[in-house]
Amino acid sequence: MPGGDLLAERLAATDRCTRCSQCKFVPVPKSRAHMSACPSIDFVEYHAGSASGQLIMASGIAHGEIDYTPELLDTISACTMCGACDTACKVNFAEIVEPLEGLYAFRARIVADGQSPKRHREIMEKIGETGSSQGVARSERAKWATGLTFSTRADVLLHVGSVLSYDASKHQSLRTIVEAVQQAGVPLAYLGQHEGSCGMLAWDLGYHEQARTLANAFVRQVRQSGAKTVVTFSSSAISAYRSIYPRMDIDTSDIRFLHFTEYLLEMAETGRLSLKTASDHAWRKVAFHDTCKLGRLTEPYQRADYSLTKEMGGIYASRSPEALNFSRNGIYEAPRALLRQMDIEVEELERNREFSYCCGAQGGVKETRPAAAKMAARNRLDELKETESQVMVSACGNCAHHLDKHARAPATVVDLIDILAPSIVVGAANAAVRER
Amino acid sequence: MARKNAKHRMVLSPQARTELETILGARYVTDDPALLSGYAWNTGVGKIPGGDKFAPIWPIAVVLPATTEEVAAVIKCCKRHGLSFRPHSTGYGSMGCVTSPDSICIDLRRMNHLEILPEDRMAVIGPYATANQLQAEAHKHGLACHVVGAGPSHSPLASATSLIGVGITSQFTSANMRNMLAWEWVTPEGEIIRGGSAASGMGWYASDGPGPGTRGLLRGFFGGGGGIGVFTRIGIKLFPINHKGKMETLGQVPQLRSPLPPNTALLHAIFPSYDAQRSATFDLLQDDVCTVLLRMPPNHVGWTLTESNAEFVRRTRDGTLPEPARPENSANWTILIASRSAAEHRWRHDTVREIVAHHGGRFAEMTTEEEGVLYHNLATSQYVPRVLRASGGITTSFGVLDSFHFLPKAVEMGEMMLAEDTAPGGDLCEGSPDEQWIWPHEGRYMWAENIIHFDATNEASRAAGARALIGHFAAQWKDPVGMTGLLVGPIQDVTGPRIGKAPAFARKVKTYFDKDDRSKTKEYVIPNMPPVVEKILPALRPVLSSAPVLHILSKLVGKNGI
Repeated sequence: MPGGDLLAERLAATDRCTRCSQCKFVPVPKSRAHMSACPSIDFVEYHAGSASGQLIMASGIAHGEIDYTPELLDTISACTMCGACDTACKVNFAEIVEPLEGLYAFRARIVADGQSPKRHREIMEKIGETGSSQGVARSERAKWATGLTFSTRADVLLHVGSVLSYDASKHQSLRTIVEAVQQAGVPLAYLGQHEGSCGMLAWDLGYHEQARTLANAFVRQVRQSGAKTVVTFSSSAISAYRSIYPRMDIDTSDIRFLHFTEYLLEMAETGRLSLKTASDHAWRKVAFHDTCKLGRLTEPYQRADYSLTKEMGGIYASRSPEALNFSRNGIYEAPRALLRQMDIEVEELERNREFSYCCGAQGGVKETRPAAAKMAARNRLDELKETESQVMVSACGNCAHHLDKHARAPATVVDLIDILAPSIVVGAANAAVRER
Repeated sequence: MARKNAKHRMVLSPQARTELETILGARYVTDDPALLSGYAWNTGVGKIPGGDKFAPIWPIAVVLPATTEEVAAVIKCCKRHGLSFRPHSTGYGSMGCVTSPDSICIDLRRMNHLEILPEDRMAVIGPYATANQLQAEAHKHGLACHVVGAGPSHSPLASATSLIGVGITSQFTSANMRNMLAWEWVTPEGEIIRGGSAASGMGWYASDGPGPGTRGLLRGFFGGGGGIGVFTRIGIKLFPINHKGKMETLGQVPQLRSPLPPNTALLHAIFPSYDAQRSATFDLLQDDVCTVLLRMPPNHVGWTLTESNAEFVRRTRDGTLPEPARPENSANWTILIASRSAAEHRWRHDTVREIVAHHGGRFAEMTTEEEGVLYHNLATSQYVPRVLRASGGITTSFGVLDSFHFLPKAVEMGEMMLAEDTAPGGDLCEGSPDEQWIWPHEGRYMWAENIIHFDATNEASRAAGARALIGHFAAQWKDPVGMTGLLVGPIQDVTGPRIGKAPAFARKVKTYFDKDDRSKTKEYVIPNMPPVVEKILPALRPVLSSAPVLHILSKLVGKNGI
């Protein structure tokens, strides 16, 4: 029972939870309205909805104190696996609990015990059949690229991801950006309809073996393409590459994984591309939504000995403290820098960067507990009221789509690629742009 | 798979469930064991778990009311069905679990009212308004709340109504036993009563007023411990600070820090002895120059100034911890000076330096980053939960609440209780010889609380934690170090005449309002105790504090928890 083993490995850490409730709150809230770190507890309301509550249930299962119940499965299904609990907990508890690792282990145990919620099983069936949780036919996956030419082998492999591949409203922006990169002299390889799931969602749902299979298949495809760099438009994928693949002991040290925002910034800094003022938009100031997967969950996971030693009579100390994840090194700056290059001022939401509040789109919640996902989105959009801006920008297609669906006027949600596309210019358009 | 302790758990009758669902809606009533498990986790400040973290007694249901009227209806429902109940706010620490198998847990999470009344320097809060929320909103008005020793996510209402309420900023924010103003209370019979000025309809600003001034009756000094109904709203004092607006946070997790506001200084004074520290304290308090005075044992300062246990252990061993965190600097005060003008600040700053120097003290060298981390943790009370980082298990001592004359003796007592087990090879986590946290209240009396770190996964360590906990009481009975602060539950009765007739008075209150003992707790007085038992209990002190009994009790606690 692989999942069971993982929970057994994490059980001591799980049992060290002190139920202090810090996992429910951003470490230093700026207001009562936006003090919550956790969409799950906001929806479930019973303690079970929090990371602490889930760890306690995991402990209950492992120690034989409780059985699986429909309520347990409903509760864990409302958790987006956004990792805000982990960041909040570590402010005080550093290495001794690490809630997110416990949640990963609990999900794996649920699957290993054959208790995965029905909706999760359905998502996995769709991924198995079509390579996408949406279950859309593979033949539709590369329609956005009709007319574009890609290399069979190239140094750079383009990864689009499921959300963007099937969101026709974004295809023009996607094409414009990809064409600009190609015109800037970068030959791109693209897997087309052979592009599959990165494995992130499978991992979040506890299907670790399937996630490993998907990840290995993708890494094989990358190697077959000859690419040394993978550029992805998917925040889930970049999170999987940097944070999850190492957990699965998949060696990708010969491949450089970049989010498209990092890649475009790199190209802009070297003068191969530039960004002109985003004059198509009336607004000059936006609030930026840090996607969990792109931000705190893209912090690279290092392959290291994560076990603890008992020192000084009972102090639990990490064997590899330098490898601890504190969510410091996610992708926070690149999208902001791109917005600034387009003369757009970035206004910070109260919960930003590593303390960002999940919009509810991730972890299978949107598909499994839509009411929970909707509440999370509305909570996040409420933060706009504290800013001068009425526009929320996300660099994640999944977040942007989900937030937009639940936005109410005057709030507006814009996908970063829709701002970038009309502003992107091949080459260093002019010195002023570059200097900015 | 059968649940291990299922046979010991009561179940909710269909009739009671139907009534509760009618009151609250089905979504807010659960007896699902998985959802109950989060209310049976025996952990946090002051707790010693058994072999696993689950408490032996689980609630039979958890309910989530949203209004005072719903709380009252739930309590009346409990009464109709012969059930007990236990209010639950954030659930951290000593009062998180139910204590009788017929208890319903009333989780007050949905009652998070928070309203700042800046002109009255107060807030009106519900049970789930947490300290970090209250602090954030108070700061916008240039005010601060008192934060007790349970970290930023505790409920100030619970602190103010139900358990002492001491905290590290007590020099300027008093303590919550004195900070509660008017109140709204659902009695154990399910009646809604407002007291203090709230009862008059004139606002929430006073505990006495046209309405009954019964704060002392309802909470006294120790607090009701969740044993006298449910408090659903209170007025609570706020205190002016020298800056207004959101707290600026710099740095990265976990070493968040805050820049000091203008006319603010954070100093760490180190004294050659506890006698010198005591003498200096009287002068510092006499001149009223310190906004906060806090003595943490050096290793606890070290946990704040290091980002992980691994770093703490490494730097302890190689002797590179910052000066405030080094064991030789144990006689110390962390001093915050927050002034309203440059002139005032100069005067306070110079006076503090002069007093410390006069008593042979000096100031530790700190980097700006270290100063910012200490200030941030002091202002947000993150210090407290971070103390649990070492092992995940702490309990605490009796607490000394008395004159600063007792400071050296309190430290000596702390050492006596811990030194053997915190030394290398002992059963507790290694640490300073004593682990007393000390601070003043309102420029007068001293609070000292000795923290006991045990490894919750190790039975011998849990037993050593229990030995130190009970041992503190036994030591206090034999050779008092001032007034004992944490006399909760039956310990009050055993301690007896030294605290006057407080337990007997509290028992009369409890018995009058809750003759059936539906509002169940172990932290309040034992209800309905015959006078003869009341007289006998103090006589048991020599027996309870004898070495063999202490040994047996601590073994039992180490095995089964409390």
